[in-house]
Order: sequence, then C-alpha cells, then structure tokens
Amino acid sequence: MAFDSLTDFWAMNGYAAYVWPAFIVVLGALVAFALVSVIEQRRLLRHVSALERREARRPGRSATATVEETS
Amino acid sequence: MSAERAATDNTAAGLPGLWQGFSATLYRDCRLRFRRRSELANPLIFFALVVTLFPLGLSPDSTLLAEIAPGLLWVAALLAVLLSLDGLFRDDFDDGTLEQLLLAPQPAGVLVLAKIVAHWLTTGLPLALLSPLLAVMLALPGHSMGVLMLTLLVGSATLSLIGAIGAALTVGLRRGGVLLSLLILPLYAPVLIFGAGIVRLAVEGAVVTPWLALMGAMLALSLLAAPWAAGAALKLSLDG
Amino acid sequence: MWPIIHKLGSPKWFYTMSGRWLPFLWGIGAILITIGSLWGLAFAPADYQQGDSFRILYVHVPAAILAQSCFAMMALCSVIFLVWRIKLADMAAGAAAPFGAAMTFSALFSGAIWGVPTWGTWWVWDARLTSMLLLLFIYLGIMALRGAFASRDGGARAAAILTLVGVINLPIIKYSVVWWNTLHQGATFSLTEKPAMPASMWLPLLLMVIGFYLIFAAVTVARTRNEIIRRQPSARWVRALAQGERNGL
Repeated sequence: MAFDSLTDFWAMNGYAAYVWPAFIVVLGALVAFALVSVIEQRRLLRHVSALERREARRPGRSATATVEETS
Repeated sequence: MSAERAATDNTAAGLPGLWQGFSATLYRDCRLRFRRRSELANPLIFFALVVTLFPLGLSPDSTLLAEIAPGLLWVAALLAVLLSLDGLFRDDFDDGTLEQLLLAPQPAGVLVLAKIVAHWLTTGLPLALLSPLLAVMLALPGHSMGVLMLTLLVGSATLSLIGAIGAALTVGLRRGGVLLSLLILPLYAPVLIFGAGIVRLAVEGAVVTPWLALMGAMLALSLLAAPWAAGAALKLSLDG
Repeated sequence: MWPIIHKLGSPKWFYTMSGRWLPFLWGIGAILITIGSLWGLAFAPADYQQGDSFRILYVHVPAAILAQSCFAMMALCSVIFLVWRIKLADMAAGAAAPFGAAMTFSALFSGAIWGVPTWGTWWVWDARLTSMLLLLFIYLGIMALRGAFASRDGGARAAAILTLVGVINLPIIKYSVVWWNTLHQGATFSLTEKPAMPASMWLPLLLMVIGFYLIFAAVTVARTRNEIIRRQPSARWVRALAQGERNGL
C-alpha cells in the first residue's frame, strides 16, 4: 500500500478531486457500455418473441414481408 | 489500369477518351459557373466580410492585426471554400446530370476531378488572388504576400479536393449542409495548420520552402485519393 | 479462402461462436481492470514529481490507446465491407464507433483533469490533446453521417468511405499538430513522458490496457450481436433463439 491510512487513500494526498472523477468517468463509460448492450439484447429478444406471437395470432398476415432479410 | 485500357479502347471505337471526358466536363462546369456571375462572387464577398468582421470584433490596432493576419486570412478562406462546397454536386444531382456523368465510359474519378478543378478555378484561385488586398488591410508585412498567395493557391486546391469527398457523401441528404462541415472541418485542420503556419514563418523571415513542399505533398496525396473516394461516394449517394 | 470468408461473414455463425467467448471477454476484462485499478490506485508508488495525481495515468493512457485502436479496427472493417461486401464487418464498425468516441472523450476528460494539478489549467493546446479533440470530431462525423442516411446500406457505405478517408488523414493531422505545437512553443513537457518507469508502476498499466482491450472486444461483439438481431428479427434461427431465451428465463 502506497498510503499510510485509508483516509489518506480516499484523499489521494490532496489529489482526490482530480483522481477520483477521472476514474469514475472513464470506468463509468465502460460500465455504461456493458450495461446498455446487455439490456439492449434482452429488449431485442423480447421484441422478437413478441413479433412471433403477433404473427402466430394472425397467420394470414406475415410480418416477414415488412422486415428485410440480410444475407 | 483496366479503366484506362477501357478508355483507350473507347478511343479506338470512336468514343471519347479519358482526356476528352475530362476536358469536356471541365469546360461544361466552368461555363455553367461563369454563367451565374453573382454566385461566382459569393465566396469572395464572404471572404472579405469575415476578414472585415475581425478588426471590428477585436481591435483596429495594426500590430495586433498583423500578428493574427495569417491565421485570420486562412480561416476566412477556408470557411469561404467550405460554404461553396455544397454547390459542387448539388445542381447536377438535382437535375440528373450526375447520374449520366457516372454512366459515362470514363472512370468516375477522372470526371469528378474535372468538376473539382472547375470548382477550384472559380473559388480557390480567386480567393488566392484577392487575399493580398485583404492582407494589406490587416497590415500583413509586404514581404510575405507572395507566400500567402502561394499557400492559398496550393492549400485551396487541397481544400477543394478533400471537400469534394464530403460534398459527395452528403449530396443525397436533404439537409446535408451542416453535416458537411462537421465531416470536413476536422480533415481541413492540417491544411489550415500548414497554410497559416507557413505565412507566419514568412512574416518572421524564416525559410519556408521545405514546408511549402510538404503542402505540395498534401496536395499530391489528396489529388491521388480524393477524386476516387468522391466518385465512390457519389455512386452511393445516387443509389441511396 | 472464399468459404472461410463467407463462413466468418455469416451472422448466424458469428452469433453462435461469439456467444461462447463473450462471457470470458467480459469476465477477464472486468477482473483485469479491477486488479489494475486497485493496484494503480493503492499500491503503485506515487510519482516523485506529480505525487498521487499521476494515478490518472492508469485510466488516461488506456483510454487514449483504445481511442486510436478502435479507429484502426473500424478502418479494417470498412475495407472488408467495401471490398467483400460482408455486412458483418459493417455491423462491427458501426458497433465500435460510439465506444471509440466515448474512449476519445474519456481520454480528453481525464487529460483535462490531469492538466489542473500538472499544468495549472484545464486545457492546454498540447499536440496530443489537440489531435485527440480532432479525432473526437471525426468519430462524431462518422456516427452522424451513418445516421443521416435513410437507407441502411447507403449509411454503411458512406461511413466506411469516411472512415477510410479519416484513417489516411489521422497521421497527417497528428504530424501537423505536432509541427504547429513546436511552432508556437507551447507546453513542451508531456503528461506521459517518463524516464524508465519501475515495474510496480507499469505493470498495473499493462493490466489496465489489456483489460480495456478485452472490454472493447466484448462491447463490440455484444453490440454487433444486437445489430444482427435488429436487422433480421424474422430469421428462423433468431426466432429459435428468442424462444430459447424465454424458456430459459
């Protein structure tokens, strides 16, 4: 440990106002990207199953025509 | 290579070759531009106006003005070129000429280059010729006038070439103007840095030839790459 | 050659394969960054000149490295997309762009904060900061251009062309900004210029950089997977996937 006490560590020997915001913003960006991509995936899969159920209810009208197919 | 061969084959078959395609497009574009005289003058008036605003906003003190003159003239010229870019392909896109142009047997890059040259002849070149007049008003030392004109001549050609890529990418978009500046301005930074920096050095009486050569190298690089990139961008703008 | 490229370019194949790696990318990345942060924040010795403010280096440098690597990766994807028309490459480039912009902004933000104790000011027109700022604008331009097109393919091709133009320009921008900086003789000492860092200082940095790369890979893969679902929600395998997910939950 490069600090004498935990209080010193939190205070970063006077540089707390610079070190902590930098860490929070940069690491926060990483966490935000991770969270958003996981939530997005859940939402998309739910959307897909909702689409499927809607189609199952109305077998005559398929939603496939409106959604483009990609190779 | 194969495009070049195709063009020579065209000549053999009695169709226009590379050079004919280039010169015909250049001639047509220049004629169109000279037909609209008022539009031709717009970038120049804009250039002069921006330069006029700075002494009003800062101070009429000639030592201060002489100090900032290289950067100021360069930024104003750059913005004038930027404003004129949207018209580079817009009219031809709207009336369908562009589609015909890309159907021509000549490679798109050559014809796009002709349009860019026409654009430079009607914006960059007059801006460079006008610049000493405004430089005098900003109290730029007389011995650096030649260098100022030279950097603007070479630099504005580079600006036209790089700007053509942005104009081609945004020509199919309804409100492409603001987006165009967002795309192009960061790419303009090196030209501005070298252009204004060289004039500054010239004011201080330093040797500027090596840096001028670097500006020439930037022009050569953009001459090689930009017409083809702009041609590819035009194709996708027409598809979309 | 061709079968491999087409297999790699198949969204279904990519989706199933990447599903296996993804947890490891997230997990190892998170572990490395946690260890690196704790090590860098608490155990690495303080710098003899800058004191504890130098610890910003442990997030500033990885963010700056990632900002540039991300652009290189996007350029590679753009070439693959433009030459072989592999849509997966475009999805990956599109997925990476916001992350690259975020890393560029992070590097600028942490650099500005670091500037206060080091230079006594938030912003210095230093060569690195300035070229980073221009890089951020290029990222924003690419993202805006992709969004401005009504057709997905048009936006993809436009973004790819602009990325390639940008990648040719970036070294020129960097060089010109350095030249400009020496011309004006601004701040000449740089933030990261260290004469021989001891291992206790650079090891945590190494962990952080590797961790950032892994998280970058994970974010790009995860966002590409989302894009695959978004583009073909009616493909049979996507349906089966959604069903499996629902039963699993």
